Amino acid sequence: MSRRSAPAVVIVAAALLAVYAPVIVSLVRQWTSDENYSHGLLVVPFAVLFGWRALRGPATAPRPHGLGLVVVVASMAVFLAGRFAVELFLMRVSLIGVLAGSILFLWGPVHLRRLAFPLVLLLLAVPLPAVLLNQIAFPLQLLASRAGEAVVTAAGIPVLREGNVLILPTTKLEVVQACSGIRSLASLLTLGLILGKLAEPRRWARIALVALTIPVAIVANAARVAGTGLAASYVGPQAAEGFLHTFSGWLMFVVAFCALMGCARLLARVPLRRPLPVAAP
Amino acid sequence: MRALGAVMALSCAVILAPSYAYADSVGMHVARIACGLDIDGVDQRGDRTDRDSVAALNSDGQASINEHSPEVSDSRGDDDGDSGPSINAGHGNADDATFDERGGLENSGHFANQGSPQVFPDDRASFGDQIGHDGFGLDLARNITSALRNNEGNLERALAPGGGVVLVPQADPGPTPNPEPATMLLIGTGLAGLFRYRRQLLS
Repeated sequence: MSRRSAPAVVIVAAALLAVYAPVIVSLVRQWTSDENYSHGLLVVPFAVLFGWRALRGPATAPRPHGLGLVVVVASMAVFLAGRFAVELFLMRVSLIGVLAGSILFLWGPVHLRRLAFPLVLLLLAVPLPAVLLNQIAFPLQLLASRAGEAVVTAAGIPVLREGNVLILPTTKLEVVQACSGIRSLASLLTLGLILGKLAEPRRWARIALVALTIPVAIVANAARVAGTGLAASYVGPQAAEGFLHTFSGWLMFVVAFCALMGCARLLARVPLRRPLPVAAP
Repeated sequence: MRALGAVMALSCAVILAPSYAYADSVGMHVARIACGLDIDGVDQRGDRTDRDSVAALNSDGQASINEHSPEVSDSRGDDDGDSGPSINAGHGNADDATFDERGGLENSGHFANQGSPQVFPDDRASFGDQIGHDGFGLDLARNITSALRNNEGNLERALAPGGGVVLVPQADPGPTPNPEPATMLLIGTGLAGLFRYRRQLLS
């Protein structure tokens, strides 16, 4: 990025701030209060860092592209639609659209491609609308409840499942939205992206790694709910609440993350399509 | 790479505080009330009189009453045995519960949606005793009125939740929610892991 482009950056940044200040404030407020999305506070500095690293590479002459303006206008239309419909998600997503459009308009497709990864990271920090979140979380809740019921039954402990409530002899466990596994799913997805970006040069392997996060997160959460049920039966209801419960949930995520790292290693063993020449013995 | 390390170290520091704060809040949602009602239709000797002898709770059809457990508490402390056992009604919209005849309450409650569970003081109930009801969600409290019915079945001295009903918030003994840790803790852990194995990853 040359010094000549500095005024453009300042103008775009000032305009963005002027329009999007309330949106950014509401985002930060949700990140600090909603434990489904508190990762936004971590992801944004990383997105900035990855963006900065991407721009530090070999200098490329800017090749502004008119399509960028179309993207900006379309994103502003989405912003207006969100504004009139009082729909936070549309307003927030339009910010990333405006950023992408501005990059394309001012510097061109090569720069946009370099900055695509940080933009995707930013997209992951945008809270989903409640309607969509429920659509994803509810089946996951039932899945985790069923899996928990199956494991607890297999362990010989009587259990009755009513929807997403597991009734055990000692206590009742409720698999609420925050137990659906959507938090570990969102977290593993973000980590899978970063892991792929850092460690995996092949595009298909990156996609496979990100796709693998879904079954890993679902299995891990089912195991977490089942483990909580077993702990509540063997140890007592206190094992299913408080610090112990948060700690066991965290430990389960560490296991899931290690499983993801294992998947990355296995993928790395898959040979490249054109193997490197090996010296004959 | 050094900058990446700095951000990860910072993130590790940031995740510690919320994780401990979070640990305290698990499973502590308040969802239990008790509303009390004097049985003043019972005379000093414990005999039932003709008036005000039925305590009724009216839910105005907004929700079913789950795990309703009326019991007579011995407010006078005269140890007349009426701080009787309570029997929880189960789930559902048309629950029945029966009470120990010698427990201070004589009859069954019928807790259908839109219904009015009724309990009758028996001969062990005495003047000044109270019938306590708990097991309602706080949101249901707005729709519940306690009242005394006279022997003609008419509602008398209806007590709105604001008047005469005691709200006793307690930790919910019902289903324990089973939440995952906050995403910041999860991603922070993952990033710390990535940083730990950065050399292997980057090779």
